[in-house]
Amino acid sequence: MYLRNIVKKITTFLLANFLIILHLSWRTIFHQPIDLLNIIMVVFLWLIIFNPRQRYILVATYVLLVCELFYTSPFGLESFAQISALLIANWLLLNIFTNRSLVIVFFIGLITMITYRLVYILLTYCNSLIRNHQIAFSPILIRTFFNEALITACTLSLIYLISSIFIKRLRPEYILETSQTI
Amino acid sequence: MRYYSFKKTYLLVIGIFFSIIFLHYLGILNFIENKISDTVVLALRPITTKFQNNTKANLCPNTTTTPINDQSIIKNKILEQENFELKNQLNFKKHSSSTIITAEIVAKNLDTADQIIILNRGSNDGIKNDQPVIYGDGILIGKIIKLENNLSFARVLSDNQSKIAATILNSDHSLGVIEGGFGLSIKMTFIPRNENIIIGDEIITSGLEIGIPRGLIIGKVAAVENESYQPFQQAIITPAVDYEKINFVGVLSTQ
Repeated sequence: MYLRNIVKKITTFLLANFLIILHLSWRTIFHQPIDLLNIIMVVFLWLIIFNPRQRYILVATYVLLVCELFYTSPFGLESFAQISALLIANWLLLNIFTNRSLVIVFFIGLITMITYRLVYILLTYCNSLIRNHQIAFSPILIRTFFNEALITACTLSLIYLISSIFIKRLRPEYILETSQTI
Repeated sequence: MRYYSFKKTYLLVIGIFFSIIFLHYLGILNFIENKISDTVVLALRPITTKFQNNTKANLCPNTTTTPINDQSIIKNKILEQENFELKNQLNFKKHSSSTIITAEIVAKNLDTADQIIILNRGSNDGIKNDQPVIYGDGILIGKIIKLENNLSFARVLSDNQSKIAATILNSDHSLGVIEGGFGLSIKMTFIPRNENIIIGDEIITSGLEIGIPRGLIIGKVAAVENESYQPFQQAIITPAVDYEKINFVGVLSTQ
């Protein structure tokens, strides 16, 4: 049992690092609009939609804090926006959107990304006030954020659709339940 | 489904997050952060280099006559491209009085709101903030904005927050400011309305900005917008190089 836990923790750590590399590579290799896909958000949203666990939120915190090292904005700004968006999504999924239909998944993806960008804009604005920087949120930037939200939500829905088919069919409890019904 | 109490999780995440932020700003985590970023870059470099170069080799028009699945030909083309970039930089080095630190681009555009390139050289190599980043024979790419021990972050000219003083090589020697347009365009603003700009005129750095020498190439005028109700005219610029297709750059040490 103890060894199993250690193996589990090591696997989680390796997968988290793989996710960081994947996200960074995706953003570097591809150009717009494909690079707008936020892989980290897709993965963690998919995990909390299927199985909300404390561990996922903690791993997300680690992944986002490591990614923070590669942003030019003040340390903590991006990760705070993304973690708060994930926590809000988690709360919404547990208390309001308890149904797991495709539409709900799509909307939760959209709401999370919009929340993330709203928090980001708010924090960037506060930072510009403190540091006396001039920032401009033009319609192009807002459109880019919206495209990012749309692409991420669509990808999340697609992955959810594919995975839900396989997970339902391959889960032993599901097979047991359906065979009993028959 | 098992129900987990998330109140504890929320508090734990908030606690961990703010502790790390606090320790970061105190500078206690510097060593760990540098080690992590070095390791990530080490893992990232082979992937991005392979994919970017493969894309370039596939896009290269000469490859239509040769089979692109031949790995040795692709490898040669990649080396040819790198050789060309470094030779151009060496050529610039001969004529320039400033020192140039050659760096490789390891990652790009992490945030969709910014146009940033990450270089594999940092403060340990003598790079400082606000130093100009050039490509080949003196083409300005951007400016250093953030430094780590072994990494540096440069803001590309097409970034919406990028502003560089420039001059047009026309009869009036028009002065203006080069501004980026969210990675989509570059324009030169604050050009007096009475000055004559012709499409195709070359644009260089004016040398009015501290740390950026005069004469670095920026691009050419592609279109001029001179409206009667505007106090200044502006020019849309075609950059001298496609910022997406660069592997090696040089950081100009001007101090």
